Amino acid sequence: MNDSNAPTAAGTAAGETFARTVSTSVARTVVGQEVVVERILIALLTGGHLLLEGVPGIAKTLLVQAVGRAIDLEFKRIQFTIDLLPSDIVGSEILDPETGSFRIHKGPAFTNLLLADEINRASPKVQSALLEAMQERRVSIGDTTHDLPAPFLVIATQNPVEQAGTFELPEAQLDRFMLRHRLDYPTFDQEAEVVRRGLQLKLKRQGDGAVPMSAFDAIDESSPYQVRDLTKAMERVLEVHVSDVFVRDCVELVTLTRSHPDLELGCSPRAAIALVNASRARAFIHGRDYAVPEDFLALAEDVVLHRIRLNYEALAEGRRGEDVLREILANLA
Amino acid sequence: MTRRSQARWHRDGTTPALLVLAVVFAMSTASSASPSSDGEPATRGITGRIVVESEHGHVRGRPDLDLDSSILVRVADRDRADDGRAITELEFIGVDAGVFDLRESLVFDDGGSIDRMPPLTIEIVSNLATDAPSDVFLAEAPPASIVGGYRKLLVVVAVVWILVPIAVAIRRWLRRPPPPPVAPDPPTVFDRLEPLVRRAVDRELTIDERGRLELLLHAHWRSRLGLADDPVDAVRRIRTDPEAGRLLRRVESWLHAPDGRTPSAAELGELLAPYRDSTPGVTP
Repeated sequence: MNDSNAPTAAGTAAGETFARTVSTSVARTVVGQEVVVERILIALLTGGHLLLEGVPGIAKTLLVQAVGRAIDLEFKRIQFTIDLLPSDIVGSEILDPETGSFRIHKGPAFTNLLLADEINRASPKVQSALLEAMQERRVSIGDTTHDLPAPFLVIATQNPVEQAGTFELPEAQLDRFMLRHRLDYPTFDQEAEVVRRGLQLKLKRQGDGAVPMSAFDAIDESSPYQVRDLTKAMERVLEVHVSDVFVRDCVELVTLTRSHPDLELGCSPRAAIALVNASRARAFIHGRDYAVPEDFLALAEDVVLHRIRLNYEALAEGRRGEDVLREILANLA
Repeated sequence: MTRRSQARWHRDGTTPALLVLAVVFAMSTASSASPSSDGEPATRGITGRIVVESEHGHVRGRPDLDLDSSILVRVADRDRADDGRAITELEFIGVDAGVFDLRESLVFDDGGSIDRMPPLTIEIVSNLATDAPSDVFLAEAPPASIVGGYRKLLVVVAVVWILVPIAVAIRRWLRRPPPPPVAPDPPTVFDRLEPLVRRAVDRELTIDERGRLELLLHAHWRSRLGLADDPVDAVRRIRTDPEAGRLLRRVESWLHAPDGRTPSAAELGELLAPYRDSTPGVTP
């Protein structure tokens, strides 16, 4: 029996290095948010998708762009609005007047890292188009089907406060997001550091004119890793051992959500799969070649909460999903 | 006149004295009375009109008429003809069916004899059957008589109101189920952990038992270290605790590591010894 928390294999040590390097690179631009960086890496390493919930102005876009830069991933951003069309995401056929034939115009979905900002502002038709692309990793334009680039990761954002004029994602579509993470405001010290960094930004000259630099201009352009490094890391994640006991714990957790008296809707089997896969990636990031309960306990909130729905009685009593999950976790044994 | 009908009459804004108005018969001599009417019979309860001309002055209803009178009269209008004769327009309501001389219900303003004017015959007809009980001034049926009076009825209702819940309560009390057996206290972490620890030394645990054992060890340390209910935060702090972290990592290595061999009975005994000696009664 090992008696250490040290990395147990060279490969997993590389995983810890990989995560630390990316975090360090991101930290040059974004203050704090280490947990979110970890969640983005977990999504990248497992091929899952991530839903970020947080109020505006907490550097969601900057963070995703910085992570993409650190691994040299192509990054695109779509601001979802009510008048957005599916073709604005996946692309469309355009008639070329010179040749008289149609040519394919690929939409922003053809990228490695797609930030779908405020996904709940678009109509359900557009949401479905994106979620379909997320699941199948290919899109149909006209009569032809096109594979999306690999890796392909969608990070969607939602503002939990401003709900007027939005289309809330139904549970079936939320289920397609491997993780949903809620971002908090930075701490006092972190916010002070954000302000201090802002003070250091200079002017960006354009011809004779100039505009003030933004945090996006300060993103570290060097990429310590390439896509092939990410692919190698993904392979390593698949080598992380998951014991039968660990599988039993995850399945037990998911099963308990289906029988809890406060829940109208429990987790689907997809949740158990997501929990195990995400735990694997987390174990890799933390330099272990096997998953331990700490992994699924740390990820349970992000995997489970968007997949459960409280019943009327629980809502009337002021219960929250977090309370129910905590209760389930405490009684898991 | 009944009290009820009197009240209704007052509500209409007219006292009986005012309603019984004088009829002015236009007559100077026996032949001068010339009542003006269309001669049609009036319907019982419906207002009829008649114009009376008299040289002796205006007429009005007899002041002693009341709602029990057969005819009620009121003055609708008064005027004077060019020749000075008094013209009185009267409205009357027939309470009873029959033929009546309206003079019997009238007096002259000057108090002179009503016989100075010729008869004023009016006919009151009824549209109802003769045996139909009706009262022109009573639209509502009189209340049914309550045996013993309303006050007694209220007392009876109050007694029943009180007795019914008492009876129900007594009935329930008599039929109450036996008191439920006192539920035993839920097993503590120690109660659940102890047999698993003993079994682990004796034989190889099943996957489910191993999973429960590990999670119970987490619960044990949460309780022992006084950590909050949040298991996510607690597990991080347990791992950093010198004693708990070391022991749990050894268990993790045994249960989760790919090369984690099943420890021998002696190793397990040593590994689980801290839990065997735990204080019973630790809260779950």
